[in-house]
Amino acid sequence: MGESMTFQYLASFDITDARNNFGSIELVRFPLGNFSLNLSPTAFAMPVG
Amino acid sequence: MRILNHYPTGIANAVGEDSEENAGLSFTAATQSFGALIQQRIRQGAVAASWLNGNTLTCSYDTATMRYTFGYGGTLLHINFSNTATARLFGFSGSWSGSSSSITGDIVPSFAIQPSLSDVTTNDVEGVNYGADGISMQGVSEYGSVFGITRECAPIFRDWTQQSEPKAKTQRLAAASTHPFTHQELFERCRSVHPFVVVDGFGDGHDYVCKLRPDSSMWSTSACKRAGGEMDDALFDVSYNTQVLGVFDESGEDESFRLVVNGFASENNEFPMVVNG
Repeated sequence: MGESMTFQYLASFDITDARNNFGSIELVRFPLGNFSLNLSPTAFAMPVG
Repeated sequence: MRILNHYPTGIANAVGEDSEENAGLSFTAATQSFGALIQQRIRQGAVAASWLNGNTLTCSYDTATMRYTFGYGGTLLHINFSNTATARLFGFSGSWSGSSSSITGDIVPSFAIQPSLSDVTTNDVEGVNYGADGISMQGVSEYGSVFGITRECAPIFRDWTQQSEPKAKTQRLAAASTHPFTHQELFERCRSVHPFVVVDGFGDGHDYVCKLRPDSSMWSTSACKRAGGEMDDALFDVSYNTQVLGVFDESGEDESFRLVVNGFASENNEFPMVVNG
């Protein structure tokens, strides 16, 4: 019936799809400093803000 | 529209860019992985924000553990996601706080499935690559002469069944917070046009770029069956009937030329053969 193997899926996805409701990610470093990256549903260029 | 993926490289490296050869695919495949794109963007952001060693920021994906890791040649204190959808996209259950130079996500990212069993079926044509029907036609005249026509190349198909998947990885509304993506959602999102990557799936040293075939792209009773019969609401068998679009080796290197060219088996003949017997 089966074979001995690992088996995984990795689906493709469309980051521009507004239904995904992606927002932003903010990185904060020691001792000070932070910035955010917007995962914009309308601009694939994903502006750094 | 542009397709991204959780993979070391962009799937366009395995899927040809010839639009005619890739008829039926309504997308432009990315040549860069999602992790690489994010790494590029956060480095730009860090440099713009005058971070020390901003170009040491990394965002990498491990296909074996199915986890993203953020790294920095300094110390990170927070990774804040604006909402749950964004956190899950990177395989985090929520925002992170601490003090570390390397932070790995704690859940399987959105758009990825980690099946519970490593086995797939090998029944009939399942588990092997095979060619499509209808490649050749032939007629015989009343005088006995034979006339035929055949295509010199054919799409490669591959079918398999992912057996005994738990309900939480199968049905969208039953999805677990630690594994938010399901087979149902993969069917609904991919249908017959969006490709997906099957990593280390068939025990042959290759990763496959597949797409569902149109007649098997519905989340139907033939695609998802109760593994234990009608009384079983825990385990499900999921049938995948796909066309193979490209192949990577397991380090992400494009190996399409060894098996398929632009999704089609390659033969030596340049033109469709017309056989006149």
